[in-house]
Amino acid sequence: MKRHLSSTVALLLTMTASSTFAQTSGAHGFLTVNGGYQLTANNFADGAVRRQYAEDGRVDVDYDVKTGPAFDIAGGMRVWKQLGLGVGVSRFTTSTSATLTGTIPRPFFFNQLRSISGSVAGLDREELAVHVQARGMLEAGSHLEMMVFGGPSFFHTKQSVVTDITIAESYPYDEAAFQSAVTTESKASKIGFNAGGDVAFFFTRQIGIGVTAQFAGATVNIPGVGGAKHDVKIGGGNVGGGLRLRF
Amino acid sequence: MKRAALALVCAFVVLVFTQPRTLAQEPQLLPGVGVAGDIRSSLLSIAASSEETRRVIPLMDQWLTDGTLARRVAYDDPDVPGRRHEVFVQYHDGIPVYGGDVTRQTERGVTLSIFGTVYSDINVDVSPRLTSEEAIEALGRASQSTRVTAAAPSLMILPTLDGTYELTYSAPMLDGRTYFVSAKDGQLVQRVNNIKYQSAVGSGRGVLGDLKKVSATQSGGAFRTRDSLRPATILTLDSRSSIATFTRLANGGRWVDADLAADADNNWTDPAIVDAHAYMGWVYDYYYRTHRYQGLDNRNSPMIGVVANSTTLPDNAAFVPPPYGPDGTGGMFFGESSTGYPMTALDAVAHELTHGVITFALAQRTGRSLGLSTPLEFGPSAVIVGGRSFSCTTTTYLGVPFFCNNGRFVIVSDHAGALNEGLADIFGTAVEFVYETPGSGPQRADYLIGEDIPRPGGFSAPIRSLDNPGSLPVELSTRFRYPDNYARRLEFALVVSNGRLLVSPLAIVGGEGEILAADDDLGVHWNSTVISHAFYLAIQGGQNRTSGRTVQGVGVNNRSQIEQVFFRAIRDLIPSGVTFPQMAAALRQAANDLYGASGAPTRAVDQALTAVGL
Repeated sequence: MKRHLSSTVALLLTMTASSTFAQTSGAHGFLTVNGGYQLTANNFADGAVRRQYAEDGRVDVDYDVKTGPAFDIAGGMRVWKQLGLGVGVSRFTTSTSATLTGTIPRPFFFNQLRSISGSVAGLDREELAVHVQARGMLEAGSHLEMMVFGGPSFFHTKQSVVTDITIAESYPYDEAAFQSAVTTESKASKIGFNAGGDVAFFFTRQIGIGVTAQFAGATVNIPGVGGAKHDVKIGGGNVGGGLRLRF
Repeated sequence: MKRAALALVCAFVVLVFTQPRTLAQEPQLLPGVGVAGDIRSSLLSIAASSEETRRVIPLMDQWLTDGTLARRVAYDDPDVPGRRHEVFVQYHDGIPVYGGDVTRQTERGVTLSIFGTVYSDINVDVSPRLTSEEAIEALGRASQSTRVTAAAPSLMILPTLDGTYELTYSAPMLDGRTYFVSAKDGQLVQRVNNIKYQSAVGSGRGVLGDLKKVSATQSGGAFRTRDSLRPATILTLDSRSSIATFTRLANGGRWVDADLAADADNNWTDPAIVDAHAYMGWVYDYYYRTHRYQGLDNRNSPMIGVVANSTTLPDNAAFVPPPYGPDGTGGMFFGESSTGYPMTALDAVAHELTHGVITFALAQRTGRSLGLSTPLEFGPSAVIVGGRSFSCTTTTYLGVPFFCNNGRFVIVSDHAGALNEGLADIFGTAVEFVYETPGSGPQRADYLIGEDIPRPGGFSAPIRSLDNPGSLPVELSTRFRYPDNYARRLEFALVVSNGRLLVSPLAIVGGEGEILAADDDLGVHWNSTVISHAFYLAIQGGQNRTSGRTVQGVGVNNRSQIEQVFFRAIRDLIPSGVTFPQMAAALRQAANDLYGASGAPTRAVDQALTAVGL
C-alpha cells in the first residue's frame, strides 16, 4: 500500500537562532501559506467473510486513494536563537474509488460459490491535521532562509468505506452480480508525527516565496466490510510552495 | 356411429375380484366351465408411422365436424419452433367419454402425428335416471366415504369391459379413489385409485448424514419450511403430530402455517424434513433446467410435500392428485418405515413429484390425469400353476369361471398405471444422475429405485432395477420377477361373476400362472420396468436379456437427450389412457421430433423399444 502525503502547512514560531538572521531580517514571526500536492497514494484493502445462505462467502475491497492537491497554512515565531516553535494546519481531500471482488454462496447448494466483481466510486476521504513543530531556522544572507522542522501531528480523518454489498440474482441463481455498495463514513483520530524542510526566498524584508517538503503520517483503525476494523494509513509525503511572510 | 378398428382392443376393467384370495386356500383353481365371450373393439389410432397418420387425418376431420371431438386446448411447441399441439376430447351427445381424447401435432397446418383413443359404436341414452342428489347418495354407498369437493358429480360415458358403454356419475371420494356409479340405477361400475404409491421398502438405520441446505422463511419467531426462493413456492408440512392432521391434509383440508415444519434457529435437526424439503427443491430445479418445465403444473403453483409417520403412511410414499392433498391441490406424501426411517430418498421424492408432473401435464392437455388403461388381451388357453396345467375353459377360481375367448384366458393389466410408475422411476433416476456421482452405494447415481432408504444395519434392497429388472421378484413370495420385456409383463385373468367381468388374482406371465396375494393395482409397479428398462437401454446401451436384441445407447454424456424424449412424450403426446404400444409410438415420434429420423437418440430409442418388445 502506498503512502500518501498529507499536505502540511507549517506555521513556525521561530525563535531567533541565528544572529546573522537577526541581524539580517530582525524578524521574529513568520507565516507560510502553501498549495501542495500529496505524493503518497494511501491505497488500502479490506476483506472479510460475508455469510449468506448459511454459508461463508467473501468480499474484498481494494480502495484506490489517489494523490492530489493539498493546502496548508502555518505560523510561528523564533523562541531562542535559531530555534522556533510553530503550529500548522493541513487539509487533504480526494474522491476514492474501490474495486470489489467476492464470492457469493448459492441458496440451495454448498460449495458452489459464485464470483462477483464491481466498482464503487465517490468514496470521499478527508484528512485534517494539526502539526506542532519545532523548527531549526537558518538564514543565508538577507534573502534566503531555510528551515527544518518536526514534531507530533494530530490527525482526524473521514473515509467512506464499503460495509456491505447488495447482490442482483434470480432463479436459478447460477450467477450473481454486484448491484450496489452499502457505505458509511468512518471517522478516526490519531496522533502521528511530521518532519520536513522549507526553503524561502524573500524579495523584501517581509515577503517572499518558498518551497516545502514534508512527511506527516499516522495509522488509523476504521470499520469496513462486515464491521470488522482494519488499519488505514493516512498522510504521507507532501511537496508544496507558496507565500512566505515574516514580521 | 360406426368406427373402423385400427389397432388394439381397448376396454376398462370394472372391479377386481374381491373374494378372499390367499395361497393357503387350496385348491383355488378348480375344474369348471369357462364363459365364452366376445370383445368389441374401440378405435385406437396410433401414429406410429406417417402412413397411419394419413389414414386417421380424414377421420379426424369427420370427428371434428360431427362433434365427436371438441378442441380443448392448443399451444405452440415449446421445443420445436413452428410446431403446434392441439388436444381434443371425445363427447357423445354432449357428454364426455372417459378416456376418449386425441392429441394432434401439426407444422404449418400439416398434421405430423395423432395420438389418442376415440371410442366407437356408442349407443347410450344420455338422459340420467338418477338426479344429482341421488347420485351423491349412490357414490357414498359405493365408497363408504364422502366426496372430496362439494361440486356436483360429473356425468360421464364410461367404456365397459365388454365393449359397451354406460352413462355414469363420477366423483373423487375421500378414500382416495374416484368412483363411477350407473346413472340409471346407482350401481357401482368403476373405481380408480387416484393415489400413486411408491412401494418403498422400509426399515432404515437413520439419516445419511449429508449436509444440505434448507430454504426456509422466518415467521413468528421460528424458521419454517417455506421455500420462497424458487419461482414455485415449495412447502413442507409435518403431519406427524396427529392422525387428524394427516387426514385433514390428505383429504383436501386447509393447511395452516402451524402445519409447516419449524425450527428455532434454522439449524434443522429433523432428517425427514430436511430431505423432503431440500429434495423437492432439487427436483423442481431438475425439471426447470432440463425441460424448462416449472413446477408440477408448469405454472409454478405451490408444491406441497407432507411428511408422515409410520402410523399414517407406513413404508411408502405417495402423490395424491387434486382434489386431494392440502387445500385440495394435490401433494407429495412421504411416509416412514416401521422402524422410523423416512421415505425421503432422492429418487423416492423425484418419483412422487414426477407423478405430479405427469398428472398435471396430462390434465392440462386432456382434462384428465393419466388414468386407468386396461386393454383386454388374449392369454394362453392353459397355464401351468404349481406344475399342473389349468385350461381356461375347464377351470374356475373359487368356483367362479374364467372368462375365455376362443378357449383362451382373457387377461388384463393397467398399462397407463404401469407407464405412470415407470416414468416416475425414469425421472427419479434422471434426477439422481444430476445431483449424485455415478456409482454404487449410498447416495450414488444408479439405476436402482429406493436403494438409499436406510434400514438397521445397512441400506434397503432396491425395490426396482432399471438396468436388470429381472434381478428382483415382484413380491418376495412369488417366482415372478419384474419384466424386462413387454412379453414378460404380468397380466391377470378375468372371471365372470353374476354376469360381470372381474379381475382374478391369477397372474399370468407367458404360459405360467400363479395366484398372487396382491394385484398391485393391476401390476402398475410390476410392469413399470418394461418402459423404464427401455430408458436404461436407450442411454447405456446393451442387450435385452429376454429378446437378445442389442441397443446402441446414446451414452451417459447424452443422457439428457433421452430424458427430453420421454418428457416430450408426457407433456405433448400421450393420451390420458395411454397403452404400452401408444407410449412406444409417442416416444418414437418425440425422438423424431427432437432429433430427426436419423438422429442417434432416435435410433437409440427405437432400438431400446424394440428390444423390450415394443
